[in-house]
Amino acid sequence: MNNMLNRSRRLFLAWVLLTLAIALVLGACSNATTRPEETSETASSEQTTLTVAMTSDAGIDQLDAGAYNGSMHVQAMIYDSLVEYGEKGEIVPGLAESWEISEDGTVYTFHLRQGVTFSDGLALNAEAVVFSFERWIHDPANSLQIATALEAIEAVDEHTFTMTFNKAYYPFLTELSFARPVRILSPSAVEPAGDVNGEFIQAVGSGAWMVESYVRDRETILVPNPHYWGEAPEVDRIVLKVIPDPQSRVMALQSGEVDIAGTQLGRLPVESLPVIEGDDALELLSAEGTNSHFMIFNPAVTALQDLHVRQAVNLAINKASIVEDLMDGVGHEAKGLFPLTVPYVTETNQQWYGYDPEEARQLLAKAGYTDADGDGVVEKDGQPLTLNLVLQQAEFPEWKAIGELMQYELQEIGIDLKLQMLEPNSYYDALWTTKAYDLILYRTYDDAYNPHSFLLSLFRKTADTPAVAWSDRELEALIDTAVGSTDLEERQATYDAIFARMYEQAMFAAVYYPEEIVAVNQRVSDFAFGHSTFRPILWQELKVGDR
Amino acid sequence: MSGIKNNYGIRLGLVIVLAYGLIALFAPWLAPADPLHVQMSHKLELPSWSYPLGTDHLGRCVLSRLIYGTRTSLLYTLAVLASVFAISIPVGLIAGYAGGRIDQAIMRLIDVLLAFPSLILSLAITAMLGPSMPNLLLSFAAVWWAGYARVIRSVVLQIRSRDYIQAAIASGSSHGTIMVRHILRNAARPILVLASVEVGTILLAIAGLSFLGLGAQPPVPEWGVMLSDSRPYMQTEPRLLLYPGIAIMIAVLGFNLVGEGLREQRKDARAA
Repeated sequence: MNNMLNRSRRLFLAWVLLTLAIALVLGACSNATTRPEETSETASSEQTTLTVAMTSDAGIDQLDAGAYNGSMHVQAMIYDSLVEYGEKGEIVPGLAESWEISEDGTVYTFHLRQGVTFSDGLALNAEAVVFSFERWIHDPANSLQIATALEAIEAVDEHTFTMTFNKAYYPFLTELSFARPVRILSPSAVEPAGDVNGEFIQAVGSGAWMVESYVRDRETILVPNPHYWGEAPEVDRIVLKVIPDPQSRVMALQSGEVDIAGTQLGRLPVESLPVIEGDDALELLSAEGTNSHFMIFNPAVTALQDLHVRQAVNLAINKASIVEDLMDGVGHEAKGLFPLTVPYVTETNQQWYGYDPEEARQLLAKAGYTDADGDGVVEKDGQPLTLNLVLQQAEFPEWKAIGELMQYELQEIGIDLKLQMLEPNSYYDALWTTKAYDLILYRTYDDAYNPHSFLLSLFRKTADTPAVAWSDRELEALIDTAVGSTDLEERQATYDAIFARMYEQAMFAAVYYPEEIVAVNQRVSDFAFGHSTFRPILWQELKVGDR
Repeated sequence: MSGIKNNYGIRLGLVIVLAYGLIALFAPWLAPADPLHVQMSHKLELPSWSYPLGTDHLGRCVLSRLIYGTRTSLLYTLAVLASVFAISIPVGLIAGYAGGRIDQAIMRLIDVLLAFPSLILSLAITAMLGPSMPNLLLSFAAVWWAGYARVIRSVVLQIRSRDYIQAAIASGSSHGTIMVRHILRNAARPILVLASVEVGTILLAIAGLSFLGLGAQPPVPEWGVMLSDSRPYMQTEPRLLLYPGIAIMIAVLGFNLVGEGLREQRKDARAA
């Protein structure tokens, strides 16, 4: 009978969905049991191969140095920048050996390293640098100050060029260290070659690595650039394997399918850390992170305009417990917007609300909220204090548990928190466009973007839109002063004032300082964390042993 | 002969269904703890006297969450079933009784809906409306009524050709009276059987969508959500995955045994 057929098919479909979901985990097993790639043991003793797990495809076919497509981590491996981002924001020479900045901070003169060639053998000169910049710098979509404030970029001679800006802005050099769009690519990367308006055809840079092969959504193989100007890498090949599921990455580590998994290339789930720790072949390493997770208060929500309410939310969250209990000690207790690894953040200017539910309750009472009807939720003028918290799980799997914990903690002081779990697209839509949230869990940017770039994009209004996060005129003025200041002391003092103002006004709710975690197979030695998001690992130093 | 065997299945099924019903009804008295009480100091504890099945990643009592989860799952299954039939019974009845162009129009619409895999379609609708239980209910009802309406129509067609309907028409009864009193009453039994067969499917689909984060929202305890929450602990605490998995399995088994049994009995009764 037709109907019976339909019914059994529907039954089957439902089963399939559930088994499929469970199989997501089990599927990793089959993934992990596939035969490892030809590694150094099987191929030849001279060739050393290192396999690294990545969350998403590297997008080599569109990895234009001057665009925001593909993986920025791979961008930073293939293309060099003029200057590099060192420890805690120190700017160190890259392709530019030295530079001078005019008194007023508007003219930058760069001297390029001599004898540098791209991986295709073309020489790197001032003209190639100007070519790289001209390709994207006039695009009105660019928000980098280096693009918007640039008046002229000119080659002076073969190895010297100048950049002239219409204002002083201390992070110009920091922006030049970014993975994109400021890196330098070979004129042969576009068609017709050397044409500023040419179309991107292949990823050719002067960086330590070049592409050997690429299969979309599967793997990218990088080999050392024979023309590289710096120290040559120790390994002969790096295989970047795409493994989107966090659990699968753990299993790939266990089976030896990948040698390295973790960092921002593909985060490891905290729940699986005991498994990795218990595996003798693997070593777990961690480094201080430079971003933090926090909650944005929607400035348009009436209840949150009361300082007492914002303070109460902060006091209700047990930041120490999130680290100790929920994250098994991975990470640090949040004590502000930025952790100490961020420039201008010091022990003295870092100050935030602790955990004190009793005081939080009193603050709510002071703000006029009482639980008159005894349902556990406080009201003011008959309106219960209900807030919705928007969050997502795909990119940050731990947010659901953190959200549920905060939901319970806020319930304890009488705030009814509704969790709204969205998929990444709708989440970012809510954050940037629709603003359909009372509270939203977000993270600060990483390293080179902190603190100036993050403050500018979240706490500072633009020409036509108000600030995304809760901010005020005083804070916005302070941010302007800080980024325009050419004097280091003045800048530090202004940042002190910024952090103090944020604390006074409880402009956000601090939640969690994550840590960078990586698991490395014992056959790999000399692993070192990089200093920026786009260079999470110091690739050149890695060695592969024969273990 | 086969009646006894079927009865045995039905009986087992009924016991299971009844047990789940009682658990759902008396959840507050049966649960050893508050299913929403977060205690980070008791995170991932092994079974003990105070937490018979241990605690989850937020230190909540797993047994209590399972018990309250029964309530969520059964309540929503019934709600989905009710709303699906609220649409499919009138539509099927009208299509079967009216026949002709009305029937043709309704059936083509149903064909269109059935051309899509129903679960995928309701998944898409829920994702579009935003994840929440009411939206899940809406999307299920909007998609799943079509299949039932077709079955109900075929039942109505059979009854319509019976002599007593002709007699009712001849005696001048109104269409409404015929449809409700004569057709619907006689179609009630097959519809009931159909419903009982489908309960398991619906229950499973709700758990499946909740697993994907499109159904029950935190902190509501629900089996599919518990399953997805336990997924990261697959290697370290596999028991957390087993509990909700077994709860779903037994529930679906129970409902399917009852449903299949009723259908077999009906077949036998018709054959006799």
